[in-house]
Amino acid sequence: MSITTPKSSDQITVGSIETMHDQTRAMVNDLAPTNIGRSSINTDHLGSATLVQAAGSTHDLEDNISAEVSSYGGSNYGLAYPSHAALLAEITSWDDVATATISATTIRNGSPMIINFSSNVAKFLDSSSAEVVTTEKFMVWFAILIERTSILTGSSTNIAIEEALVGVHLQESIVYLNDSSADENRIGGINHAVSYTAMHETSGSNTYSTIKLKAAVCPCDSTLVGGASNKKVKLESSYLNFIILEPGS
Amino acid sequence: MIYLPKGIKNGEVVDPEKISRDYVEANRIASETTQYQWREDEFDDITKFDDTVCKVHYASTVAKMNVTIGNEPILISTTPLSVPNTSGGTSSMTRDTNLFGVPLNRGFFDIDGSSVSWTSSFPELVHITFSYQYMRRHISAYSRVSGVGDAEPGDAKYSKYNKLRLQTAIDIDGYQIIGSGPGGVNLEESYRGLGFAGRSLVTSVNVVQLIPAGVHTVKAVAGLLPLQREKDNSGNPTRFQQMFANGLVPSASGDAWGTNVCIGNRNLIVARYGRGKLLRT
Repeated sequence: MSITTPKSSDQITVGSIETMHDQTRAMVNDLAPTNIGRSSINTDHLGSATLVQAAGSTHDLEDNISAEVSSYGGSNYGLAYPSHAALLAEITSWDDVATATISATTIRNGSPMIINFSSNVAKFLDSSSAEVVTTEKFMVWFAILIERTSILTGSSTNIAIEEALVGVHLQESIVYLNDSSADENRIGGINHAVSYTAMHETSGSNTYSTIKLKAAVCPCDSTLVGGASNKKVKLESSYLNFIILEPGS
Repeated sequence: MIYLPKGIKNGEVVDPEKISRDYVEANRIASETTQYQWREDEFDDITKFDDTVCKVHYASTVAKMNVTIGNEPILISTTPLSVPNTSGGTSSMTRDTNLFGVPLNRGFFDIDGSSVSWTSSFPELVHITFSYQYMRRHISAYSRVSGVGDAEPGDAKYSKYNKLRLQTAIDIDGYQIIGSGPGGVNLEESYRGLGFAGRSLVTSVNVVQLIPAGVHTVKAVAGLLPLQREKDNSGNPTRFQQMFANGLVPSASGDAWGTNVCIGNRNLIVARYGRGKLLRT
C-alpha cells in the first residue's frame, strides 16, 4: 500500500494531511505477515515463549519382560487384531517398560505429540531368570500406550499408536551363547538395538496423563498355542521421550 | 513498535517533501519490519504467532504382521494364511496389503505411504524422522548354494550364505541424503558392510537440513543390494549374477531371494521451523 503524498508544487491542505494520516493508520493497523522482514524477530523478542508445550523422558536401566503376546481365540487376537479396541486390550496387558508423565494440564487441540523410544534387547531368560537358548522364531514386541481421560465424561479414552507396534527377532541364529560352555552355543543376535518414533495429534477434549512403553515376548510357535513359553527377555537401557509442540500443525 | 514522526518545528517553512517523508518512513517500516522495531521480550506468549512458526507433517502406514503366540509374521507370500487358534484348529488370515516388498537389486524405490510435500515461502530448518519395521523370513527359508547346508553365525561356512542387505534412505526433492539409513555407496562391486543383513529391524533415522523456500517433497526409499559381488576376482560373473540373470532360479530348494522381504509399520515426521535470516539472499 502506498501513501499519497503532495508534490512540490501542490498546495498543502488539511485534507491532504488527513489523507496521508488515514492511509498510514490503515496500513499500520493491518500489517500482513508478508510485510515483516525475514530478520524481524530474534530470541531477544521471544521472551519466555517456547514452542514446546510439554516434554518429558524416563528410562529403565533393566527390565525382565515376561508378558506374552496372546494366542488367537476367544476374545484374544494376538497382533492379528481386527480393531483398535482389540489392539488396546492386547497391549494393555503387556509389561510396562517405561512410563512418562505428561505434566501439562491442558493441551491445545491438534498439537503434535512426538514420541520416541529406544531399547536394547539384551538377553533371553528362562522362568528362573537364567540365560537360556531359545528358537529362531522367538520375538519381542513393543507398543506405545497413551493414557488419557475424556473431559466430558471422565471415562478412559486410552489409545495405542497402531503404527508404533513393532517387534524384532533373535537375529538368524537358533542357538546363542549362554552360561554353558557346550560346543553348540554360539554368539549372535543378542544386544539388538531398537528405536522408534511416532506422532499423535492431541485431542482438546481429553486430559492426557501418561505415555507408556509396553513390551511382550512372543514365541511364535504353534506348539505353544493356549500355553506359555515361560521365557523372558531382558531389556536394558530403555528410554521413552516425548515432546508436544504448539501451536499445532 | 516505536515510530516517531518528526513533524514541523515552530516557525519552520512547510515543505511538502519533508512532510511526505514522515509518512513514507512509516510505510517503509510497516513494509519491512526488522528486529529493531520490536521491544525486548515483545513476544512472551507463543499464542501471538499462528501455526506457521512450526509446522509438523506426519505420514504413516499401518501394515500388520499378524503375529500371535502360535505363528510367525505373515509376510507377502507366506503360506499358509492361517493362524493356530485356541480351539485346536486354525483361523484364516488375510495378509496385510500395506506391506511394502523391498525390490532386490533394483536400486531405491519409494516406500508407499511415507511421503510428505509442502510449499514454503521462506527458508526453513527441517527435522525429518523416518521410523520403520523391517522384516524378512529366517535365512534358512531361502535357497542356498548347493552343498553349503545349514550354518549358524559363527560357523565358517556361514560366510558362504547369501545374505540379503537392506538399504534405506531419506529422499529430499530427489536426492538421497548420505547417512540417512543403513547403507552406503557400493565400492568395488562389494556388498559387504553396505546394508543391514539381519532378519528384522526397528529403527528411527533423523535428518536435519536447511532448505530454501519453494516446493519440497520428502519421502523414504528402500532397496536390497545384490547378494554377492557381481564379478569374481577374475572378472567373471559370480554364481549369483548368473542365477539372477536366469530369473533367480535357485540351485537349492527354498524361497527365491528377495521374496518376503518387507517393510511393515512406518511413518515419516517432518517438523519445519521458519528460519529466514541464515539463508537471506
